[in-house]
Amino acid sequence: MQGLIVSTAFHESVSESDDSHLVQQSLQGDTQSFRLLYRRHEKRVRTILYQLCDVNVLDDLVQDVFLRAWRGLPKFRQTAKFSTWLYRIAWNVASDYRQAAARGRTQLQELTKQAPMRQESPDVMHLHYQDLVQRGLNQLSADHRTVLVLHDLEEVPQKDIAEILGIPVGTVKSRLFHARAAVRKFLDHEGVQL
Amino acid sequence: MSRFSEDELKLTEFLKRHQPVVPAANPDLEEQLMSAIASTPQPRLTVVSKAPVQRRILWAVPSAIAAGLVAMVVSHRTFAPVSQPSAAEVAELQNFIESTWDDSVAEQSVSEGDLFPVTEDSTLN
Repeated sequence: MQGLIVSTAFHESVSESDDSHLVQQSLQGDTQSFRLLYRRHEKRVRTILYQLCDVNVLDDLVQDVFLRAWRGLPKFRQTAKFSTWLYRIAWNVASDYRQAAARGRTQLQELTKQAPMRQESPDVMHLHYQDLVQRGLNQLSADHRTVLVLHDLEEVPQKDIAEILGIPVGTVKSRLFHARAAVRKFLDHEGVQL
Repeated sequence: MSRFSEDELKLTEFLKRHQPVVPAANPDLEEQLMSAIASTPQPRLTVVSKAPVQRRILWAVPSAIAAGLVAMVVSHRTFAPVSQPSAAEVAELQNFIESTWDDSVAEQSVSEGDLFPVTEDSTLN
């Protein structure tokens, strides 16, 4: 277990130093270095946006995040973690989108409606559980969902989440607690025994 | 690192195992992004040196305080009335002090007599 922690920390540290190097290169105008940054972080950015926004505009929003990052790179403090800074941009893009998309049809309905369309696995139980998890996440508030996704699914440390969302660590803990409790209750209600 | 209880661990594992599949990106997305970046030059940071301004402000504070104190002292000396008693006032003051002193000495001798009256009983003690 300890070895795993050390290994993860080492990997994270190496990854951050690589990010830092790529950021430096990008600041010199090296677009290929920025391409590598994109490849490294695209999946997580996509996951965050997917949980908060309409799937139909996912590609546009991902592009928006990285364009904002490219433009804002000269202002990026080199002492901060690039990933945290980038996820903060993703959060801002998602928030902007949600505000703009505050119309009759809710995001939750949209995501629920689309959930069955993206199933490809032949395992029926897995499909069923996937649908339940999606619905469980959808019934959370955006704040609670974001914290749960970042922490439990994307394994972002609580301290970093606090920085990304601009809230105290205590608030992250509290939101995580309530989000887990709500999802557990939902799953229990749906007959899932954990 | 957060500590997991067994229940939390089970829930988290379940969520991870069955987390919704995020739809794959359009294969052209990366190239679209790169061409958008190519046509979006990075704004150069114009380094505005704030240090001299801050230093000037820092120097201004104690200077203002010192100047204020000097102005206060000078104005006080200039405008405050200098009280030089006249000869008559000095004489009046002297008379007052002398009369007050005489009265107080006289009162004291009387009061001492009241306090320690010489009686036959006292001589016996």
